[in-house]
Amino acid sequence: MTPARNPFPRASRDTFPTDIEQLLEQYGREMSPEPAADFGPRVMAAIARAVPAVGDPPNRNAGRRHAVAAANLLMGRRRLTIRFALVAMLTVGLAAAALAAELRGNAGTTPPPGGEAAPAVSSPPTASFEPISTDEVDAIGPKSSGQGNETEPDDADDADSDADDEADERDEPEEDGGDGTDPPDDEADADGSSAPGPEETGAPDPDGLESEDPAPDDDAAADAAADPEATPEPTDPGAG
Amino acid sequence: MDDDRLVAAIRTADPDGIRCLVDRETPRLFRFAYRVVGNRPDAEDIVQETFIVAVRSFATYRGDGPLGAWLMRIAVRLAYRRAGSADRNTLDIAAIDEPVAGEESGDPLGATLDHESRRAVRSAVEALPDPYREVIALRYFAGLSVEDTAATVGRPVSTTKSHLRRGLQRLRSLMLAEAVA
Repeated sequence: MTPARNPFPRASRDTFPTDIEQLLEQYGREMSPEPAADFGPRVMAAIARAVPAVGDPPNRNAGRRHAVAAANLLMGRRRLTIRFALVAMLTVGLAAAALAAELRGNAGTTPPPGGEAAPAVSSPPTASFEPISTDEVDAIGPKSSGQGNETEPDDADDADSDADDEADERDEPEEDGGDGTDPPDDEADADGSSAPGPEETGAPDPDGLESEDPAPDDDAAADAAADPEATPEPTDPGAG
Repeated sequence: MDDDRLVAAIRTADPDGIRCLVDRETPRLFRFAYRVVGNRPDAEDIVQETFIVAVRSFATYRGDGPLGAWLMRIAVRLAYRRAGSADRNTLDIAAIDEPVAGEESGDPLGATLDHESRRAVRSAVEALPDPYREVIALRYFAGLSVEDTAATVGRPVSTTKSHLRRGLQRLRSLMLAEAVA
């Protein structure tokens, strides 16, 4: 039985074509020039033209450094502190924007300077005058609800609540720095010692008119003096 | 500068790192390209294009071999692409061969091969099919050792030796046929 012939016999060392190998080595020795002296700069210029990132590396590296620094800040050991600080700054910014919007909204009802606030009292009623009607609501409260003056302000009608809210908002900056923790209570409204003046709130305040304004309008001054809750008495028995 | 720092520099497009790479690899790449195409302008174009391709497509570098070997493999493909286009344009590159060191100094060994013989060597190597052309170009034109050639092409050393042997046998056949013709 004849063994099958391998179609791809292993070439032995004897069949290695050394003559061609020597020819190639000779060719390599002959063809060994050195590049021109200015070839390196030309290659760099060509790379910079073809790859713009190589020609403008500082900006790219700067952006990369900033990105890495921001990532380290948000992912490092103090990441919670940084995140809380970011949230706090955002909250303060939103609160400042809301306060500015509120002040701009109240600026339309600011009395003209020079003690001419009295005409504003006699002007048509606006939302800023609604605290005046609080007394009227309290006075008629027992008739309508039958619960007397001890009724909580939350049970009052919507107009009363809105008036209290606006009055409380004016009180906050002077009362406790405006942290918003005071409940909407009529006691604070009736207490003239904590009520800010018109120049502080930007809105006409009937309580402040009595103490600071020369009261050019006799009717308004008489009404304010006749109102026991409008006087700045710190111990008002009817406020409870 | 070692390969790791060069790789980091190229990834960040650092001009200083790329300049170091160009200074380090240009002589070897230029000699190889010159041996393939036989003239200086084409060799310079090949080297320049090799660096541009390398920087542009550096994301494809896997880092599993020397950086110089990766560049040399790019240069092999670009050089034989240009050599093929030069042949199609019927440009007789032997006519613009520059005088080499052996001829200038009158060294008898350097004068062994004339322009026609050099052109015949180049044409025969170019006519080889892959993978024989690649390993022979890397081994004899780029001057790599058998081990470095195997690492460059990503094949075992034994396979590379086999390809070299068969490539040389085919090369001899091609040159004999051309000499007879």
